[in-house]
Amino acid sequence: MKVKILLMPLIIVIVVAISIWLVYPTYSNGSTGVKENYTKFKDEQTKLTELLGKSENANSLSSQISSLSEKDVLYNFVPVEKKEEEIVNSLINLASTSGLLLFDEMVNQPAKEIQVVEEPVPAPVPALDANGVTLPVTMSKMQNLKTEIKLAGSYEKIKDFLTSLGKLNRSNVFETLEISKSSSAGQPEADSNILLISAAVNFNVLKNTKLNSSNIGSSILDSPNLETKVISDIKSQKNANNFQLNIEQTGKSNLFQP
Amino acid sequence: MPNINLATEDITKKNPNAMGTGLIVSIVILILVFVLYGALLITNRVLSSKIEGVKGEYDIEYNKFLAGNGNEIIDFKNRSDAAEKIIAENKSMADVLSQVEKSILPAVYLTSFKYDKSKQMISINCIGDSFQTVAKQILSFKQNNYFSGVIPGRSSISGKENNKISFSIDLIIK
Repeated sequence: MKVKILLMPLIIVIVVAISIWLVYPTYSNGSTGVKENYTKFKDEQTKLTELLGKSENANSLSSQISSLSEKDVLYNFVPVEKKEEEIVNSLINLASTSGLLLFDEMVNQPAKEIQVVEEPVPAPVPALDANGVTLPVTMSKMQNLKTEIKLAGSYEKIKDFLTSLGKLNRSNVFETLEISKSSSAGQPEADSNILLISAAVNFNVLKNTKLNSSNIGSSILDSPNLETKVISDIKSQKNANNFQLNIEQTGKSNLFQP
Repeated sequence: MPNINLATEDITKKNPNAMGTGLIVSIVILILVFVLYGALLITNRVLSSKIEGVKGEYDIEYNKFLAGNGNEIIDFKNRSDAAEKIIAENKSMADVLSQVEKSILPAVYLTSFKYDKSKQMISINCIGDSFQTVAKQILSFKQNNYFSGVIPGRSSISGKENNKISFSIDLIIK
């Protein structure tokens, strides 16, 4: 009888003990419990859904890029290859067309070649380091072909040259530009209209970027629609007319003319 | 000594029943706890296998995706971003010259013009007919919103330029 009286509290103690040491840890133990595994399962499902969505978007984007007739505008503006010969040829032609004498030119190679490393074994996204920190998106970096040029000619022809260079298909950014009277540059005294130009122009080049674990999260894959605004921006920049001068109390069309 | 029963009703039958019910309930709870434990174990195993399944499917899709046409898209995006950056940062030299032309006084002309992108600065050496012209020229540049700063340099009479005033100005581009 006494044992029977103790049985019920004993069972309650056993129930509590099992709940604490077995049931709850199976439900949630911080890493492999049902609760954590359910969260992991949902996360994995979400990742898979996102990937499938990106894959679908990629198919749509790829067909849009393939059918984009003005794609060359972008690829000419920021080319894949250096094409130094085209730079030299363009400068000669523009100088000649503008009536300037190109008497010195040098295309410098980029200071540091950036290798685009292809990953032999792709890693699942998101790209995380050993501490679980998301890695930054890696893309090919733009390189500059610094081109030094020296020309001689009148101010009007210099303006023609600069305008034409600005309309060149390939992007070019002036790092420095110096215009001076020929006599002030240590040259023999010549025609007072003749000016000397010394400039450093950066022509850009951008190697192809490969899809890898670090850039798979790029925002372009989040939408099925291709953003092509940059192409119209390039075209509008090329069509800009920079010399629209209204001479009032101030202003003159030839800065070097007394 | 005689036995005296002080109880008013018969309680010997009820106590064992109450204890029996409690015991049964306790046993049921114990069984339920075991069942719950078993169910959790099974659920966990099922979830683990499902996670592995989804991971496997993800890896297959991931590799398919990397091997697909993503390179062209990523490159297009990278090139577009680079082009946008160039357009945003690049100052058209024709435009820069045009702005100086707009602000130059008729009585002033340049002997040299120097543009430096890294400093966003134009340094010009000018010739004017008087010191008053120099002051007017500085004011004229200050009135042009294209420049965020106008820094006058030295002004002096130049023997080379028929005793006109030679002066320099640095212009900071916005």
